Amino acid sequence: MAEQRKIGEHTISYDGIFNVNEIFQILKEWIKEYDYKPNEQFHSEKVDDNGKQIMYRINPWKKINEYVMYDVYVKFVLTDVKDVYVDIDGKKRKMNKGAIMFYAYVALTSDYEGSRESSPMIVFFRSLYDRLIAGNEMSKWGQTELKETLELRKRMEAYFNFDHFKEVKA
Amino acid sequence: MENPRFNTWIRKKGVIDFYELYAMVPDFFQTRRFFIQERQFKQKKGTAKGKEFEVFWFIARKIDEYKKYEAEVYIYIDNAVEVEVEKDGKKKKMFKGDAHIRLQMAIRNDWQKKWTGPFKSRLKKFYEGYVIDEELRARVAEMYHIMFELSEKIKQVLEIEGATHWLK
Repeated sequence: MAEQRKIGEHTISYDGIFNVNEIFQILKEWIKEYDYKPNEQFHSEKVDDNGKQIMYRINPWKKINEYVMYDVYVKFVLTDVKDVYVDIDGKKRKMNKGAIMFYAYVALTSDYEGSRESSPMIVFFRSLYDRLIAGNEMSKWGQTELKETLELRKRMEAYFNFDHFKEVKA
Repeated sequence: MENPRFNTWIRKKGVIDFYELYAMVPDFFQTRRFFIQERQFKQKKGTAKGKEFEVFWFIARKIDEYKKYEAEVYIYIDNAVEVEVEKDGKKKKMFKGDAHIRLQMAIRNDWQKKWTGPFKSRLKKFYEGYVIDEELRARVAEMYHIMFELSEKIKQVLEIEGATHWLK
């Protein structure tokens, strides 16, 4: 089996007005810009008296070479999402109000094709290679991946860090 | 399905347009020249909370003599109660319940099982790894595109927030 090592994680929580489609758009743009492949795993929506409870899981990944790949596990948990109308530049626009939790688990996967595990000896040499020979390279890749995901985090924070939306009656 | 390259779950608890969903999935694949077979359709009385629906489709399309696309769509709706909903000024029968939808797709290489045996299987590995590797990557990308499109259409039918964000 491929070996996965954790590089870092990012968590953002926000409670207020946002637009679900715009949040997904930020994620989509980041995936395209950094040439990741989207692997959508789960999308759930429950409608109850408090509003919509949405959960979304996606695993963007990118191959670095034939041995190493970046794996990012992104999870959105949106609770009590309701439709609201906000005033933007004098125009009424439909938005969402609720709480959102963004979580990203950043990992570096080596031997993702599982080609170096045919015998215990090969697995042993693989771990030796990962730690002693490719250790520096691995940490460089890890840093690059962390930087890329930090960019996603910054974009999310920038999106959530606003207070210019004012709710108006529908 | 063994080793699916695309595997996703969609879940919606609320009002579900089951009739539209049931019509849309076969139509989606038929227009893309896929062979579609409904392998299961179950409608159970369920519990006092409502009915149960279970639908399973097997989908395939031959790429050439060596490889083909295979997909599976599984829909399970629990606690489905029929409700009348007004949509675009028209009254429509829908279900209120809990829907679980699984979408899977894979590329089946050597679907005729001609490349078996120790020598042929090594040859097959070489063929897939070095001769048709680029084509396989392109096919996977095409497959992802088809499945994302379907996933978005299903989300649109189910009216899930953030439904149209991948192919915009």
